[in-house]
Amino acid sequence: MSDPYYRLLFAYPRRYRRERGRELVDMYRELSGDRRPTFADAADLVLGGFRERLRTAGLGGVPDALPVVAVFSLAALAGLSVYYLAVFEINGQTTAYAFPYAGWLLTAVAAAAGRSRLARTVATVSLVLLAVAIALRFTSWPTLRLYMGLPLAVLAVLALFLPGATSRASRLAPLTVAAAVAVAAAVHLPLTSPAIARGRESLWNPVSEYGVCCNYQVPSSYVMHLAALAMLAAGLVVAVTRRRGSGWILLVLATPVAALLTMWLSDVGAIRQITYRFTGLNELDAVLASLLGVLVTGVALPAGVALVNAVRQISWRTRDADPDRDRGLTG
Amino acid sequence: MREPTFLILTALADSPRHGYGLITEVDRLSDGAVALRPGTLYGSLDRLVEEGLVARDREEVVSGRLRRYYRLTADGEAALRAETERLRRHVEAATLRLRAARA
Repeated sequence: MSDPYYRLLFAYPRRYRRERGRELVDMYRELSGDRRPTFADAADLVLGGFRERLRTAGLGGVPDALPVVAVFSLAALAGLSVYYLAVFEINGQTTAYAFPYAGWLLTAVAAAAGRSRLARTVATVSLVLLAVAIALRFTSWPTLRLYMGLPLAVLAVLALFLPGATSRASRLAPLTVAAAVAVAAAVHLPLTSPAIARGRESLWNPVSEYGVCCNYQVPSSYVMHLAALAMLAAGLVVAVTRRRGSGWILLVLATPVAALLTMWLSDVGAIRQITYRFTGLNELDAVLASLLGVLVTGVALPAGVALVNAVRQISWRTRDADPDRDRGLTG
Repeated sequence: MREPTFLILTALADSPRHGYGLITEVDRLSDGAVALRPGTLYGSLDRLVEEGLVARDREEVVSGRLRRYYRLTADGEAALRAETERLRRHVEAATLRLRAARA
């Protein structure tokens, strides 16, 4: 068990490790000629273990859905980045978020150029930059409130699963969305948010401050609302057109959509009464509301699906086992 | 059917192979374009075994290393045939159109 390859099997379920561990490790040794595991080997085994755990939990379709949702997430991030950069960051409200925004636009360019490995590297760097921007909230540096960072963080984590080889359409999608938002910003496409008096202003010259407060009505969080609706619409189109795995795509997509949408739950009276008692701050109320949305869609919903699959599997097994038992009794 | 799955089934079409043999055969079949890693290969193999397209074959120990062989099942062969036929139709359609475009 002191073998470095054996140690990397920790991500696999114990039973799988016992049954298949030796076969897997011996194959690695045969491939590598007994050298020490590289970073890529470690990533392969950890992801393989994660995939196996999902499969045994009855969530085997999730790994195939992740790359599709990653493209959607990067497209949403690229669009939001163009909006925030064009409307707020370069208009005197510069924050540390400008760095991850630039990072996601570079990721979209790398993905469009077919450089998938580079795209994943830039996406990882952007996630780190976002983490720094979020952490700066605890200092006096100019940054956004926490509830703006949380939905972006959920999308940024999902964007790490960008596919390697993929269709032209999914390679170009994020950059196309960014370009479309840039054109909309350049021509001041007449879009308003519920907080803007119709006719006077638009999303492109908002009066309210960047990321002001916790509902989806002000322009800077209203665009998150629009991004969530666009992701949901695109997800439904892809789900209808695909032959297999569309349910899994919608299941995984529910989490980023909820992360972008549920900030406004903190304005719902009943939730506000509970969260405000814990936090006493509007900012943390909105974070808790988003977290609640992400927990329901990212944890409770998959757990429910796993449970349903487990029950179905048990009923199949009992049904399959019955004829054998009958044969056993008569024979 | 995704490309790695198609190549794994193709690699098993003529004879059972063990994990290492499968990786090298898929690499050869795809001219190095599809480089499977063991963790990924086992994920695909487990799924194919579960779907009944591939089955576990014999085991042997060669210079202290465990090799478990996998073989194509009848269902696996049928799935590979159907996919090959589908791809053949696409290739034929594309070839005809390209020839027409050149003429």
